[in-house]
Amino acid sequence: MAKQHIQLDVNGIPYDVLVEPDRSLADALRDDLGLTGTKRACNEGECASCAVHLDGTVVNSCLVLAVQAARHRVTTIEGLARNGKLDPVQQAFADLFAAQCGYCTPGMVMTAKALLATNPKPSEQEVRQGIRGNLCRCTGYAKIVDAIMAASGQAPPRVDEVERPSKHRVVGRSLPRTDAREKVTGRAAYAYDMRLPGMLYGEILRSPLPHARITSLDTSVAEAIPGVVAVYTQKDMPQTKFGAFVQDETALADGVVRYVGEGVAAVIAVDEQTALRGIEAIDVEFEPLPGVFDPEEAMREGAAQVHPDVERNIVAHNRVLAGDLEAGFAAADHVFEDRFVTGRQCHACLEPHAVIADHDASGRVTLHMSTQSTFFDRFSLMGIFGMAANKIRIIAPYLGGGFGSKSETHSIYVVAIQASMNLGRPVKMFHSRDEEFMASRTRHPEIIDIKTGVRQDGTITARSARVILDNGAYTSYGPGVSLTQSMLGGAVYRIPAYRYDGYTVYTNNPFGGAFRGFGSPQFTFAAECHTDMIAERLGMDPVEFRLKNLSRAGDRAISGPALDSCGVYECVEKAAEAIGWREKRSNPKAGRGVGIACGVHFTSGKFHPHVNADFCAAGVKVNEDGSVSLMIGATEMGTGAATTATAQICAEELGVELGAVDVVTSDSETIPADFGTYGSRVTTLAGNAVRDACAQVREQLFRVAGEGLAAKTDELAMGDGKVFVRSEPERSMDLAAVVQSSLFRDRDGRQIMAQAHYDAPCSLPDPETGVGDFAMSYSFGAHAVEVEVDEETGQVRIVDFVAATDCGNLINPALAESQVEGGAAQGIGYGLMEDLVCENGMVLNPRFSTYKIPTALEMPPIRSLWVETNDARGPYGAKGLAEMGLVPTAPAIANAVYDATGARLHRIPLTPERVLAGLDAVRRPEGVRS
Amino acid sequence: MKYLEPSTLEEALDLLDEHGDTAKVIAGGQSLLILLRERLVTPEVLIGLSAIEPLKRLEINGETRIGAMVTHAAVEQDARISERWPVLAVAEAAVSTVQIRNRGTLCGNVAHGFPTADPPAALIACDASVHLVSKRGGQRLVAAEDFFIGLMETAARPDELVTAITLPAQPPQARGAYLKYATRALDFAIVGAACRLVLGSDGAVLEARIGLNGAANHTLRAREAERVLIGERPTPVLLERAGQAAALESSPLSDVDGSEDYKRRIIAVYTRRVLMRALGEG
Ligand SMILES: Cc1cc2nc3c(=O)[nH]c(=O)nc-3n(C[C@H](O)[C@H](O)[C@H](O)COP(=O)(O)OP(=O)(O)OC[C@H]3O[C@@H](n4cnc5c(N)ncnc54)[C@H](O)[C@@H]3O)c2cc1C
Ligand code: FES
Ligand code: FES
Repeated sequence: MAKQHIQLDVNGIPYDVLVEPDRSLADALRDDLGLTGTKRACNEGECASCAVHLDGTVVNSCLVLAVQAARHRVTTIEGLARNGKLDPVQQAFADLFAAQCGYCTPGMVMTAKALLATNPKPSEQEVRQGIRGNLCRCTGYAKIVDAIMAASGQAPPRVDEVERPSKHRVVGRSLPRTDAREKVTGRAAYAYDMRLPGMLYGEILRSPLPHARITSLDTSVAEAIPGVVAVYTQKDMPQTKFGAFVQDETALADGVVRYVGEGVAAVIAVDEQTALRGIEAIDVEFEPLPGVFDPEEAMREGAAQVHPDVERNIVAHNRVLAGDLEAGFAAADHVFEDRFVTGRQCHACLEPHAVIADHDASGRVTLHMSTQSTFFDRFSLMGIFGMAANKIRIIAPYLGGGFGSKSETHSIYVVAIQASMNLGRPVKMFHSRDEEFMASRTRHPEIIDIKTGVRQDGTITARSARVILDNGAYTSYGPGVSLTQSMLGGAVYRIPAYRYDGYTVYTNNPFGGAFRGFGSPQFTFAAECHTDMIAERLGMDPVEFRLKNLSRAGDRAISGPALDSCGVYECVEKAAEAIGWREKRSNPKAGRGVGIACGVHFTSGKFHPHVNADFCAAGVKVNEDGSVSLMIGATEMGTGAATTATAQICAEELGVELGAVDVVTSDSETIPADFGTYGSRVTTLAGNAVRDACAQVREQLFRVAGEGLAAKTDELAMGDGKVFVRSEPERSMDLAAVVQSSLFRDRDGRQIMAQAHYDAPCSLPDPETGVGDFAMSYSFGAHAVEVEVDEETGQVRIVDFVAATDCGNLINPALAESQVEGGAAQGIGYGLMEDLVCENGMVLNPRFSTYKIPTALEMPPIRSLWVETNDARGPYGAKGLAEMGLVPTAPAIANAVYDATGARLHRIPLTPERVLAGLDAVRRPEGVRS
Repeated sequence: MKYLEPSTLEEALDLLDEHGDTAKVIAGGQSLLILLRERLVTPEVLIGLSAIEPLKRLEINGETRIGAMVTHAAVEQDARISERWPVLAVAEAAVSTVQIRNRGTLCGNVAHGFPTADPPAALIACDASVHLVSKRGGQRLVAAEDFFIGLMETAARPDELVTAITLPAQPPQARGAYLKYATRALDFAIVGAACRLVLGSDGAVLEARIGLNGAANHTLRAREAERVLIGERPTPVLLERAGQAAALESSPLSDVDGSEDYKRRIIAVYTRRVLMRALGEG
């Protein structure tokens, strides 16, 4: 395609560029001008992460041709801040926690700015309408709406801390995120946006069939395309299979494709467009094989085999056997059994998976990648490539969301490394939006049969569950998901006898992996709908039934968890009260209802039979000017845990301001080993490591300051950036002076620096019974919602939402609230609309327009309430939080829909069509409209 | 592929004539660029309309004439349109997102012929006409209700340009409404219903125009539903019957948003509701 010469006026600067006529403005800005503050999360006009101003109006730059933008004024996020001063919208986003992962932020800021230019005092509803095209996967939009209202002068510019005073100086306060400025300016680095000199691009040709043998593969035409550097198939790749639990994956298909979207061949080329042309030119022939798409069918004798030698396609069977089940059911007055089915939710991170592999002449490969765990990935890649650990360096910049999907090896990583090794150049690979949907893991769909024995008075006597996980074509974290739900499934209520059987079953569907909640949302949907159904059958109020049976602090749950702190009872009480439970349940209104559900989630935990460890690490260094460098092994995927919560703990411990602490995260070479960011673990596990490292640093400082102040170390304390004598605070030394005196001395100098390893106190479940206290602590929560159901269409609208959460004490209340709000959004999506629809293995909705996540308009305001239980194991009494926010959402909605309509739905998402069918089933004939 | 930007309509028509099937017109690009990216169309020449000044005009004198390069946002925000053709203004505000409305054009939307777009039903209800011009065929006018033929298929020939859409002044007593049913506000419609009713002094329906998006592989005029109404006084039962008639004359497509049966029910409900809204009862 002949290039055209154009002039682009961007942020007031004229640029001469040579572009193909089909080049989008987004690509020209990002790749030709290096202005990567403009994001490109879908490239199809469906997310507005690429929003810029064109002659003052906001447009999606992926849907503008660069040639069309010539001679028009383009303003990007980089054009807003002047001389280091943020634009008021950026400032409000930074101060009010509106940027989590930050990947939607530039587009959001540009959109908000355009909105305020035409409507300086919008109502909240107008703000939501105005940003309805901007997808955000992290925030639930609450803090974004707050920030826009604040920027328009209609809401407070800072989080009000009056209502929630903290006992501490830094911890417990809603201090703005330390990474906010980078994110609101579009300067934060993400792997997807990075470029290295001489970099090549790789693309993968993916299977259009769910199960087939590759009978011929002709790459010659592709190889002949100018600019195509190499074409690879599995024979060019490492042959060692990989996978977190079962090693069943290869980088590219091993002769057979097992799901739609599996990699068949890879093309490496000088640029993205050429690589895409390359994969189109590959000629593949397939011989279709019989597939199996329903996990129950897959378990039948004689079903098609997804992998050889896996009997009835069952790759794992997880079990918990606790208490005398037979006696428990025998003691019951009633035994109720119900079946539930859950959907295939996708992570839908705004930033797709991305990697740049750079193999250098010394034999070391450096990876810049969007990963939650540099440690897990390095461990896995070492095995695949047979390389020494110190020859693989993984650097994770900021992540544009992860939610579990970025915690294992993906084929693009292996292909990029191999290609870089072969070609001696950096190779970048990333998923397009449809690859992100089809080939980057999902939440496992499950079929759950749950059975509970109860006495007439409502006391639970026994519970058993039989669960089938649709694993998809490869195993990933399947058995871990099952194990986690098996343990948590026994922890919410006092259950005298419990049995769990979970079957992880191969199918020719896209495959499941780790996803925020890790098995808990599926099981909780079943258990909490079942709970309401039992209460009704017994003629009891669902809240009353729960309160009668809920676990309490000090309990050891039947499945093993030691519930040293447990606020679920208070959570249910608070949520019920806040939603107006009693009054609304006793005054039913047609088409309106309230529902409640509660649940539990773990703080990290041991869920892999061969990994008897659960740790985080931190390093603390005090510099010669008294500033503090904090090294965190975890990655910052958006929660703020790695960059802000840990920094607050560090600042508290060392008696400095938060601004004095600078955080470096996740570089496998320079930071101690750390499992990374997943399992709601960073604030607590890394937080404890920070405390330990700070304690060591304090000792070092005291030793030196003791000399200077002629005091014993046990007489010293820290605060205000100083070390001082506790009884005479004016006898003090600035940290700078202490550090300088330690570093600059005639011999005998020492660093003021320490690192710490925090190993969570928990244990692997017993291999026989499956019982164990498998996590450091357990967080609880209850969600109560009020819904309005359109009884003619089945459409459900959420009008009120209360989330009461026990995550121990809060390290940063606003940050905690952001997690709950973002969790609620994913929970609402899970309950109402999100489902990757597969028909005979074909994915029908791999786009943001057809796989629907909530926008600002679907989100009600979220009212967060807290039950601070002060957990003894966590730093400052904190427990994990990030996942809890979505665990009980879907069943609360389903229960509310039942209350509103009398239709009990056993399957999520509650699509309008399913709700309407449910309504049809319960409507008495005379109730039908004429 | 080449990108050309003629500065007059004549030049544009010459180019279309010269390049025939190998050319594609680009207005806002909000639909075309996706087709290009997915290689569903592979033109050799792209003819940009943005330098042709007359196509940017939105003129109102009695009727309204909306030029080919007038964006959704410009139509939606024009106070005269919301006052005199509120059905169209509401349908335009229902289109996707502010980013798309700022760039996409009403004429491009119509030329694209997408069955679940928003404006087409409103245009049928408002009795709009599509102005077509080609070098060989000259000018012609096609009524909106005859313009939409199939999935991304319209009455326009490949060498024809949509130059404008005109909406006549609405009858003095006309009442209209547009209602969209979608999973989320930014989505394409599952069903979009538009209507314009004129009632006689006795309260009976003199004239009815109903347009339905999402009711088939193209936007429909629901003539059977209209027939139910004509000459009758609107009662709940009548409106319900009109809804049922609309559902019967529709043939919606099953997809991830719902089955054909489900959509038929929605068509019945939304047709009734849009009529009620127009009558000030919903
Ligand atoms: C994510 C997304 C969501 C959307 N959601 C909605 C929605 O909810 N409701 C809705 O109504 N629309 C929606 N749209 C479509 C939007 O309204 C487009 O603006 C519109 O369909 C096309 O207008 P355009 O000016 O961008 O046309 P283009 O994309 O430039 O052109 C579209 C087609 O029409 C042809 N064409 C354009 N102008 C002319 C002309 N003057 N004469 C002849 N042929 C012409 C082009 O060749 C092309 O084939 C959505 C689009 C996107 C990307
Ligand atoms: S990248 Fe442009 S809208 Fe998503
Ligand atoms: S902050 Fe919006 S997508 Fe992450």
